[in-house]
Amino acid sequence: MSLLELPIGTKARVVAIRGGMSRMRVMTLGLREGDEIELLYKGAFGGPVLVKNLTNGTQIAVGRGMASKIYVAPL
Amino acid sequence: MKKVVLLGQPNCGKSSFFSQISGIKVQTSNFPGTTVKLSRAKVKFYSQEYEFIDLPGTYSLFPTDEAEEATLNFLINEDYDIIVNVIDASLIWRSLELTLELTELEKPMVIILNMMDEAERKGIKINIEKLSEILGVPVVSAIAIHGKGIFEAVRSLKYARIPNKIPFTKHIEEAVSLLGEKVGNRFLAIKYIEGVLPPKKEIVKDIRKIQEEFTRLHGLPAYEVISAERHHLSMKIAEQVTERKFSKKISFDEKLDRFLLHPVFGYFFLVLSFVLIFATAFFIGSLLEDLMVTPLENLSELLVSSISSPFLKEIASSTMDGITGGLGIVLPYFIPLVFLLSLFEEIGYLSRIAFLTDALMHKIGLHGKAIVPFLLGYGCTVPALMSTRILENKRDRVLSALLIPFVPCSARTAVILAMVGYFLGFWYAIAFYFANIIVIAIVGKLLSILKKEPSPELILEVPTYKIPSLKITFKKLLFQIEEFVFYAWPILIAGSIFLGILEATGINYYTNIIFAPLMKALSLPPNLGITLVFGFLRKELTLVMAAGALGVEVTRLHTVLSVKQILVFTTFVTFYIPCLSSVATQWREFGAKVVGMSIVLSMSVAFLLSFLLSVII
Repeated sequence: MSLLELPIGTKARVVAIRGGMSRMRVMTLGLREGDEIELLYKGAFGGPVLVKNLTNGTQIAVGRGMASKIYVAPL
Repeated sequence: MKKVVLLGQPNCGKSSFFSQISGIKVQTSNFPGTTVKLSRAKVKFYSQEYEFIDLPGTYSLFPTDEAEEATLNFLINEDYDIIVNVIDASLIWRSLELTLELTELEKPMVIILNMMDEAERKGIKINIEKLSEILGVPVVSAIAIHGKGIFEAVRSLKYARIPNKIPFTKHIEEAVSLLGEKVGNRFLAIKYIEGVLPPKKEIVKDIRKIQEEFTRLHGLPAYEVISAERHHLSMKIAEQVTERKFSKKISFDEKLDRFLLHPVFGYFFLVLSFVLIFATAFFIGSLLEDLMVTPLENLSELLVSSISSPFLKEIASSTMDGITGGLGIVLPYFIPLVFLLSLFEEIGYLSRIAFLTDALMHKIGLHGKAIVPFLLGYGCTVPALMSTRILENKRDRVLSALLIPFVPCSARTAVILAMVGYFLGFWYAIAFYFANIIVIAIVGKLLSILKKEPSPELILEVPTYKIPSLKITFKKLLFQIEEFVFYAWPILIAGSIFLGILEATGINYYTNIIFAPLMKALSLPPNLGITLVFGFLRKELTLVMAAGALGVEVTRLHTVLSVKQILVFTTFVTFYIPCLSSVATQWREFGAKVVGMSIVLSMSVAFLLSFLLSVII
């Protein structure tokens, strides 16, 4: 499932990140395939989602379009 | 003198470190041909002089925005002796990826392991000696915001070493080393393989072969193969030097975010905090204004009355007006606004604001973070334009710079309130503001369609909250005040003197003739032409000037202007070119092209809107 479909507060493992250069940006900010994450918030009015990376401690906000290209498997 | 470059990922506390080592004498300049700022400071440590150069924060040297590109170009083309890499110790797993990339430069290096308190709080223990041993460079632990470890960091510069070579996986390392020998530089060789830099003709074929080989073996583009290599290496090093004890407790940060990012309370708090910021700014502002303006005006009167020549009298009084304008009107609002904003940035609330308002700002083709300059614009356009520096990408900065002048600043608010609010009523004024926001949204949408470059989606790090250091915030404030005092203010004074000359020489009369066709098109009295010049040089004088030009008291303007004329005039004044100081700031931050675009845009929007109004009503 994509990051968008993951319920808030659920832990999951990142399976695949798609999306060209945005994929590279997400990775350099510290979210990579194989990382364990937790979805913290979904912004109101179609805003971004906030992801906590449990593997390295980073927290990043990702717009919905990109979030739909990040695939995760709930743990 | 040794040149030291400061490098680190965003939010690693690098600028706190820079503030701590630098005195008040900080020089800033733009990177050549960009809007990216670069700060320098000279420090003497015992007998050794160092020049510190604070480069913009960068996640990697694989540039994805203007600042990162400027940083990369600096590292390749400029001369420097030592690299100081500042690391957020609590994010060592990710931070080491940049560190590894820096080791490829093969320059003497020192590592500052910053935010050790934060790491400790998260249950992370780092073996500093071991990290130093693996990388082959001095590693100093620090808490820059409290000034801890700063002395040790500067002392360690003497022991800066060229780092150990951390090899990639065998087949990748072989390809990189071979190419490195061929071009005589390991760093450049890697950048060629990553496709970041265009290689010389002779080696294009070699490089393509390496890239194809990497892609064949790993099924990924070459730049990703190398990025993945660095990632694995840094994870490996981090595992070797850290001990992590996970605490099951929910951290203070998470508790705070539950409230501040809440879909209801979060927005409530956001609105409340900005109302508070503005209330504070205007309260402190008017307090300071009262304290400064009256004595200055008395002084000005004293000075003017001692001069007998009417021409010099006019010049003296307008010079004093310019000085008073800067000191008494702009600075008082400027200081609290800028101070409170940088406090927000230090705490880490800015990125939360970006998260909350992203959906809204997307409607006008911008990101959540851009809301801040817009809100500041309601106070004064100059700090608003300066604050676009918080935006990473050039497209967003330019788009904001073009839209911010449409936000009515406090000087225009005075005109709107006095004209629309006073003569037509409170609800008209509210409607006017609302219409203004809609116009900004429409212009923003149109511009972002015209600019074609799609707004890249929000991908933003949301760092943990930090306790701000007042000392550092004050230092940053001082620095921005300096920029205002030595740049925008002299321009304000010059504009004021120019107005005095216009008046003293009677050129005013001709100005009205020049503007006559415009005034006629908008069905406004021809005498108001001169107020537009005033509006450009000193916006807050528009109202007084309008009354003067029409020969009535300010409170009796409605006796000579119809409702329609009041609305048309206010609309024009609100939207046309902001004041001279803000145009100058635009020039300094973005260059002549953006200024030109902004002037054409604001003139056409102002004319179109007021013309439409004059036809409709």
